[in-house]
Amino acid sequence: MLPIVELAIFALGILLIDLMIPREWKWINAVGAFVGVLFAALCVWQIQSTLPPRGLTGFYNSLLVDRFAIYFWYLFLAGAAVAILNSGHYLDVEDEHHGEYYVLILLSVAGMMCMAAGIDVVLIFIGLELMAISTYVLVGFLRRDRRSNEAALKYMLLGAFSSGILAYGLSLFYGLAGGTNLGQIARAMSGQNPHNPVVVIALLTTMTGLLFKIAAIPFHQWAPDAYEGAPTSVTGFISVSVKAASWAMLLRILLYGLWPLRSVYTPVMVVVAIATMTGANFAALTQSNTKRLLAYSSIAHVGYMLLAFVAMGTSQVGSPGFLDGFKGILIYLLVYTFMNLGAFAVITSLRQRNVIGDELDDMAGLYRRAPVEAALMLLFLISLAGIPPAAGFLGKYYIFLSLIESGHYGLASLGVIYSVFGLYYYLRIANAMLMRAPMETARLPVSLGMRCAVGVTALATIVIGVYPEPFIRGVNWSLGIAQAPHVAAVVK
Amino acid sequence: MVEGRQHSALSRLGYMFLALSEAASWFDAKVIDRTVNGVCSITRAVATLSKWCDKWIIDGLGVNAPATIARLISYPMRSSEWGLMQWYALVMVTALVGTACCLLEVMRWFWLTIAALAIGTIAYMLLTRRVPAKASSKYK
Amino acid sequence: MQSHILSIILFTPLLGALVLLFVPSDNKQAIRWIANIFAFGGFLISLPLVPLFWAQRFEVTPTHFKFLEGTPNNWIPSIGAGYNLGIDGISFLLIMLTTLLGWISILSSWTAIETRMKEYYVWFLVLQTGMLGVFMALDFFLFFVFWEAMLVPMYLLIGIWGGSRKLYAAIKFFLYTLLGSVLMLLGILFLYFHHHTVTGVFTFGIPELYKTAPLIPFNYAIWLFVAFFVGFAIKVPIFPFHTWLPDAHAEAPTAASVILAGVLLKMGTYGFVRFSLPFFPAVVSHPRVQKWMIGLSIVAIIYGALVSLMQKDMKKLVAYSSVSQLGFCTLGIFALNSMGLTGSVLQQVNHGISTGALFLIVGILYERRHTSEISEFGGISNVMPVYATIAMIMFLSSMGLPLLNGFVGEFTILQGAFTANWRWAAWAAPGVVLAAAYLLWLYQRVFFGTVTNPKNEKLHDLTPREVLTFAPLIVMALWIGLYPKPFFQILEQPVNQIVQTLHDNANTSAAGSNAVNPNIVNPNAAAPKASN
Repeated sequence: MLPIVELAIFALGILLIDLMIPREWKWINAVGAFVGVLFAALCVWQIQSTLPPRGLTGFYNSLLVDRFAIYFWYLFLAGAAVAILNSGHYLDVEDEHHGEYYVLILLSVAGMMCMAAGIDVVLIFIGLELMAISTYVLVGFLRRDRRSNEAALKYMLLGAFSSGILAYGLSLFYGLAGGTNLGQIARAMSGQNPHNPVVVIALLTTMTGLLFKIAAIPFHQWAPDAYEGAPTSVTGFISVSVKAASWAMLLRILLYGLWPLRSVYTPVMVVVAIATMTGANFAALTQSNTKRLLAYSSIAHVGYMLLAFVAMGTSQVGSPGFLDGFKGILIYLLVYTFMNLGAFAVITSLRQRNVIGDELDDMAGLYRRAPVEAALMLLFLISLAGIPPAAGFLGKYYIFLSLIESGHYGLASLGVIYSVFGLYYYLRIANAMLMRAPMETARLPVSLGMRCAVGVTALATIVIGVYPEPFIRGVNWSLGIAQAPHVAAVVK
Repeated sequence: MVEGRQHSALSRLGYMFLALSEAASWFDAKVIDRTVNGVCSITRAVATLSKWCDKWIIDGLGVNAPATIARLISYPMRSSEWGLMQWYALVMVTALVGTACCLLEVMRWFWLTIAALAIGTIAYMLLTRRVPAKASSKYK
Repeated sequence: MQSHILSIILFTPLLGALVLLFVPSDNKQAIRWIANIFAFGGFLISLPLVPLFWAQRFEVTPTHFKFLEGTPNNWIPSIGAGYNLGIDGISFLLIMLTTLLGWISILSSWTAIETRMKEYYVWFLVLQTGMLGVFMALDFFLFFVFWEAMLVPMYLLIGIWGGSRKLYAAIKFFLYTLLGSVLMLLGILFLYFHHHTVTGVFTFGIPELYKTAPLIPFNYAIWLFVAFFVGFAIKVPIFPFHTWLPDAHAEAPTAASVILAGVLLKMGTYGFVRFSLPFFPAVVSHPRVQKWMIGLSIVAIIYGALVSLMQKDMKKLVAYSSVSQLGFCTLGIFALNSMGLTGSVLQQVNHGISTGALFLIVGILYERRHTSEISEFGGISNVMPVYATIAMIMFLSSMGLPLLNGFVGEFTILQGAFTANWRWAAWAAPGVVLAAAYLLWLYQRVFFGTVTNPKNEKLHDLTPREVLTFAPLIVMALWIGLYPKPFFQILEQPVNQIVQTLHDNANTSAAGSNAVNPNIVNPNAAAPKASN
């Protein structure tokens, strides 16, 4: 059974159960959601074990479950699982522990799965909107908090705006291609003159929508506000899974559907990548709110991944630059999922009855109040900065390797210098945590779910960093979009 | 013991030798040793200069200045976030339209439009004497 | 057992760190004892390496590395990275220095660190593993992992247990060294990809890269040399990349200063000898490049000595003296002859011993008076005679007095420099004089005369534990000074190998061979084959 369907069933089930259970038993919703995610993972595994090489298609050739999609499905489910673990205690403290929260998480994952597996523009758009609307509500879940409401409103309005632009671009491609399937669009574009004004406008508007979702500059403005205002457990979730889904969508559309236009979009991507890295790294240097700081750091990470995309766009298909760029983006999303979720999990645990916990000063002296969490947070920060042997280094490794292999030495140097900037603001958090005296010395109570979340992500970060071989093999396996012969080159 | 005014040749030699050694001792103390001390003072002065140079030029200009500049640049970068959603949307649209014009090589129209919009906004602000994002005096 | 001795040496400190994690934080005695046992144990375990290596010191192996461990690409076959360890004479000496100084510095922290002791010892032991790994790694990926992993414990040691400006010093150290390391990463990736273009195999193994790296065309090689140079130069540190050092040393706790000066700085020079010289022989032998390197070294020698002359803080004085001493080491390296290289490596070991001792000396006073301002002290030899004697010995060793270790190294370096170009030796020699100047003047101000500050009258002399921290260093100083022949023999083979590589490839120099352009010019030919 399709995991999408299965997740929807669980979501509806939770909605119903939530009506019936009393307040103290709300954690049953969390358990139900977690079980749902596990079942979905089981479904994905079943599909994977019987997957034909050309992938499974469905819904009149609009859904393509190939290895690429399966990789991303696992990623979404992992992100959702950790987010669910993270949320229980936090929502209790915020007094907003409703079942709808878990329903929305499950439905947004369903939407993400459509985005990752969609081969038809309409299905991708449906998935995008399903994910987006669920996340809009999730961001505004703290009904009584003004920041949360404001964040949700801004996110929704800007999101609707960019979705509209995206829909406009996709509709132009429909007009040019005569159909909405990405394969049809690809065939139509290979016959087109890339500098045809209609094509250019279609391409740019589509890219606007895509870049908005991954929060690249200059379409990033929603991200700091949304990340800061949202409930912290939601911030963790949207920073990893929404980003992964948006990248999946971007890769599907740009590598499959619009690949013949790469001579047009690659220069644009270069400018966007440089602007993203520059703006995000500089802006993060003086932030004092940890959630905002991590928002800008997410944008910076997107900048690095865009560099890998540039390497792909300027390399021949099947060349080391192309493959390593592709691998770089996929691996980066994998390690990024775990390390970012871990960092947000630690920040979530700071939320107490009287302390919001998202300022840098709130982290002061964490080594005393929660030594294990402080040590693991240090691990996440080191990983985010890209220092071996933590997992984050693996992502940076592939990205810089692909840049060198495709000959972009200047971009590589720039990227490398910016990652040193990155270390500075991560160290600001570490400084506060480990080197400043605590403001209160009481032990920080950390719930079981949160401890699991932090533990799992920390374990993943260390294991992927020290023994990445199975994960690299997994990425190699999933490299390629079936039905797109030029992208289906797979390294053993 | 030789007394009296009659100095023998030997004693004259002796006095000359004493005078010579006194001259050498004077030379040694006043000239050579002063030179050595002078070299020492010069070395110390150069050393102090090097220490100053190390602190202010190599460390200050080379290391701390870029760091401070980076932090300073951070503030204007953040000032682009006014929290006004309309501004965000405007930035997005401007970027989109600007890139489209750039790729289609119609930059002239783009700059003309921007100029027209800017002039229009300024004129509007001046005519109605209203500045956005400033608290109106009605709400004290 | 013998075939895994390197791994055992490498992971003993890490094992100690893991064991310490399970000891409750309030049991201070247990923490101290366990940490010291593992540190001393680490040193003891490395001792069997001495006779084993000594027996093989002239043996010729295919890769000229001994005690090889691990098969190629056994760690991450998909990338081509392997857990490969191996040593030759140069790394052997540095490994022994590391284990010795590691033990001594942990021993010296016995009473110095009272807060957050468990974390301190854990991070120190992790740092020890990192440093050993850098010297032992025969795979570039592994090398880079250890190189960068070592920065985190050092940053924490400075930032948590440091002096008044510890936060600034710690961040400066971390960011500055990281900048060098990531630029070096780009160089490593280029070498890796170039190797693939030439041989079709993806591997990070250093002996394999030795074969293909000299083939890189000159105009690319010069940039690669610069990338590696920045990484190593910041570590050494070479003028003008040295300004992180005084701050880091002044603010770090004593033991961290000892390790920083004694071992971490050697990684930069080790990098030059192990990587820059054999990988880019044509670039390094180029007269302009060599002149620049020698010029920077001489400036470091003289400038470092001058600046340390006028310092008012003892720790900063010793820090700048490190800059000057390591200037001698880089002078020896870039003289590009066997005398210079041998002297340089030997002087690196000497510097570890003598400057490590100097920081211990300053630390003794700091522990008693919590200040290292020179003006606070005077006439200490009246109050602490044993300490004054030991200090004199180590000061003389650092100065390069014959019969002690410093002289052997410096003399050999100057001889190497003289053979290459007499002017270089002429410019560098005043550095020796200046070294005597700042060291003896420091000794006079602190130790001689009458006790000027009443607070100094009651200082108690060295405890037996403190004498124990100095004893091995004095023994080594005398041994190398009086009978350096074994050390020269150990270094003979690897140094000759490097000089041979330089001579072989210096002829294919600036004209630039027409070797493969690593850019993707012919993409269809570049079908990747990940090696298994």
